Amino acid sequence: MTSVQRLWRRSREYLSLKAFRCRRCGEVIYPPKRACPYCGSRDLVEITLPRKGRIITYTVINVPIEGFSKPTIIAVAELGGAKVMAQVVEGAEHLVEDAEVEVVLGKVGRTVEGLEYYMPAFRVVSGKDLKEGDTD
Amino acid sequence: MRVAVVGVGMTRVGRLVGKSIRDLAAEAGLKAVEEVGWEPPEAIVVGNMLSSLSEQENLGALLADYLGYRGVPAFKVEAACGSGGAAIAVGYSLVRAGLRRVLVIGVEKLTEAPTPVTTRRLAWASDADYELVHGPSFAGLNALLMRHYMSKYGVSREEMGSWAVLMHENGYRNPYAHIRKRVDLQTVINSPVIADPIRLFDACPISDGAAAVYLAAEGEARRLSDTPVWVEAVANATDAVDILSRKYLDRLEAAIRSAREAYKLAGIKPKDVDVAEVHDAYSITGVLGVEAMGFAEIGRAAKLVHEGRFAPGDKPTINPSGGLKSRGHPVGATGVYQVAEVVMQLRGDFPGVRVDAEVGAAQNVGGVGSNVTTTILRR
Ligand SMILES: [Zn+2]
Repeated sequence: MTSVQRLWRRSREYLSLKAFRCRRCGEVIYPPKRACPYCGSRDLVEITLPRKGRIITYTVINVPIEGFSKPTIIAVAELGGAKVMAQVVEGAEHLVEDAEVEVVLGKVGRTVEGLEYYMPAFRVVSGKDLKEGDTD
Repeated sequence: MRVAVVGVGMTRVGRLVGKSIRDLAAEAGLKAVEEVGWEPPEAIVVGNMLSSLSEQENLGALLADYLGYRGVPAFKVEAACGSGGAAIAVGYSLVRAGLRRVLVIGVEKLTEAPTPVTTRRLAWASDADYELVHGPSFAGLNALLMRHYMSKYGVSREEMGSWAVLMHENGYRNPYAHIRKRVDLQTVINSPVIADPIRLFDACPISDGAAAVYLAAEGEARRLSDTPVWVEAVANATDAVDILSRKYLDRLEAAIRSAREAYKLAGIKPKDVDVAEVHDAYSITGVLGVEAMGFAEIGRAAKLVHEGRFAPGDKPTINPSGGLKSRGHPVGATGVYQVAEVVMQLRGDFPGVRVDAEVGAAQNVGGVGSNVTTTILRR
């Protein structure tokens, strides 16, 4: 379980989907690191990831950890060259690999203080039985 | 300078209500010391992840004193589920650095807390700020890899399920195993879904247990044992704790790197290995572990297991102990169990499925492949 303090500390970077791009090799680095894990360069520039991408993989967790609801649906999506993990909070019934998602704000869990908190989360916009434009 | 394992010890793995951390560590540790005629170690290294569940840190000093070695250097090494292998890497380095006798004990007491608390703590092996904050369980993280792997390589549910069948077939004959029960493929693939596509029988149990290996420098080894087993290589490698910044989700690069380095140090190739204990916290972990060890091409291991490979009689025989799936996974002890089991295979006194082996390997994986130790042993 996270805490209010820990969420507060990173809230701006979570909400902006902060990442880095390596100036030497061009790779996108997410989560943020202090050097490029691919070429070792420290010449990094901060970027903001796009809010639309595609599902790489996902899981429906029937035995969630404390503080999260049953089921907890977790996906990894590719957003602008980065792999980002988030909960799927809308359109989970359309979830398939390669489904298109957009980043929304979702209520994802509870902190150690017992408070509900919001994080960037995924909404499936096109996937199984759903084409883009079918929803608002 | 060569290093040998001259003594081993282990407890049965299971939900051991009557035994505490110190009881387990003493049972395994003192068995290893007994094997060398009660020669006292010069240092003790403890592998452990979650002794905090027992409200007990400071394990080095606690165990040195409790076992009867008050005063000797002793400390705990932590690398999530890879803590045992990491403790062996540290113990091995201490002998290489000049100590003559080092006792390595892996110990874990996971059933001390209610299961939901233990499950939450095990997930602490992931990246707290960029993964755990979204709520994945440890099974969930592995499920992300399993779905990707099955989809990318066209691996069927039956092929993945064969892993558990083989593990239980082996573990059934291991008196130290947590779950000594044969299972058939239908039972595996119809078991309840924990984190889709991971089902109950794809996952290891939550176990208590302790194992120990007594390491000695070459001259000392010949004095203390008639059957020393030589440690040819111990290689640790790391990857990002998060799975997100990894180039590939269909392989464990730290396991690949650790295995390659171990083979290089030992001067052998994967085909030279007679017996291996690989880290199958989940079926997918076992499959990726076999591929990382070079026993199968990427995308092939589950299919090979389904075809009957790696069973007793094959080279290499994989997880004659039953692996994490059947022997069990007392997290910080697992890596030490694996090495102790391979040592017993090489000495010819493992009390379960026995492999006529000259060269053995043990692979211990922490996190979702973020901290891996590969050990190569020779008779
Ligand atoms: Zn770079």
